Amino acid sequence: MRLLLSLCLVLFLAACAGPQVRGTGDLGLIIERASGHVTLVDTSTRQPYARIGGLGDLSHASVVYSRDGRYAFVFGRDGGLTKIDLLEAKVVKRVIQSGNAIGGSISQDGRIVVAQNYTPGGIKAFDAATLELLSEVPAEYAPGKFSKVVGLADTPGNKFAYALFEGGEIRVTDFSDPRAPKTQRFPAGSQPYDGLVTPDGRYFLAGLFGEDGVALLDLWQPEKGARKILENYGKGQEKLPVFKMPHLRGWSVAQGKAYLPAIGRHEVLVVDVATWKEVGRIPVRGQPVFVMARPDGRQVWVNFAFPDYGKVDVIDTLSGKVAQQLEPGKGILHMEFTPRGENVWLSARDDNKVVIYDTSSFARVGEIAADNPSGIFFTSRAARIGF
Amino acid sequence: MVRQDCGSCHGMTLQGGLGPALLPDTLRDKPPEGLAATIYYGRPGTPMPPWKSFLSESEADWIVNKLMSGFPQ
Repeated sequence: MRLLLSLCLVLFLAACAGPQVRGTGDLGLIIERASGHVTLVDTSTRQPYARIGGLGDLSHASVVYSRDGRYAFVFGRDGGLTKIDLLEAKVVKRVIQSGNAIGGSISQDGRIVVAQNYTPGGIKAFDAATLELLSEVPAEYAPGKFSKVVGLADTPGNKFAYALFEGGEIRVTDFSDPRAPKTQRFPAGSQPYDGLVTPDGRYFLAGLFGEDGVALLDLWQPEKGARKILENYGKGQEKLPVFKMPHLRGWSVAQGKAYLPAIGRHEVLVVDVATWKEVGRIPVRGQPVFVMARPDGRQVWVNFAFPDYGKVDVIDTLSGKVAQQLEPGKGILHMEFTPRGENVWLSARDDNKVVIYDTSSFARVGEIAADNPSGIFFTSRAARIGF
Repeated sequence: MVRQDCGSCHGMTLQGGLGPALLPDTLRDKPPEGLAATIYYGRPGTPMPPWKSFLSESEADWIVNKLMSGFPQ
């Protein structure tokens, strides 16, 4: 009898010690750029729950999620690609896939992870389960000349759109057969610096650095080629120095209008997405880096390049004006909304913390210590086209 | 400032990004005056902006000197 009791006790304890059953919809991770760590966080409790190190150079690191929201794929600057299990809080697999990388994407069906690289310039496709290399597409734009790849975005049909900085092209690579990709090329303009796909997956936009304007490709009718929109938005004005390239990813569409960072200008451009014509400009307190809409589109949050990176402006999309000016901390590098937007998390790199705001009252509702935090990525990205 | 703000294009470890690497090996054959002028005045036709609103010429020289001998952590 005694033996039976202790056996029961052992079984009971084993059950307790087993993995706790939970979903991943309210989880995410914070990149700690300098120390090669990520901190795993819970957006319901607003607390960290684990920290993982050994991920290499994470400056400019970005993250995409598996479609079940369980695995994070972290793309490091040094070419490292790391697959992390958010539930078990551990590294599942890590490979060094290139010399110098800038980010990546995951396919519509969740089976392929694609990295975009500066050195050697091109993209590489990996099996999302094993991180086995499936194929690569060098960004060769002229014989022997390779370009840095920017703005890689997943689009429907296991296709990926991206741009070539030196090559001045938009490309669409189809990985329907992941070991035999097919690539289409479209002349785009001078020095595309980043790109994005609209939330419906229809349009790919590449911001141009070498000229005023944005290149637009209709992915439903790619045979029409890329055309230029917002040409000469800085016409007649002296070109301003740009202290940090804006990021187009995480851009904003609200009420049929797109909000885009004006390069080198203290302005957010407002564009009608039916006509792709500029319909307004909103003055802000610095050169915008991220211009991100709250998930409901009522607000657009804007952070800035050096030297104004302690400030954040919040645009009310109903009035079309800045409704709130915040000073959340030193070196605000990134912002991420909780899945339905009641909170926003901001990384304050030089304060070594992430601060959390309520987006309706603008009250600070929490903070998390982190070592030089940069990107913040929540699992709600798993279900979004272009994230 | 160098690691963070130069690092947004040149990489936090200065091994390059959108901008070229700023390591002693990559800079060795370049004239220091030219590098300092690039920092101070920027480089038209490329994304490199002028930093003269935030730095003096002697500070630009100091940065070049440190980069060429290996920038401290």
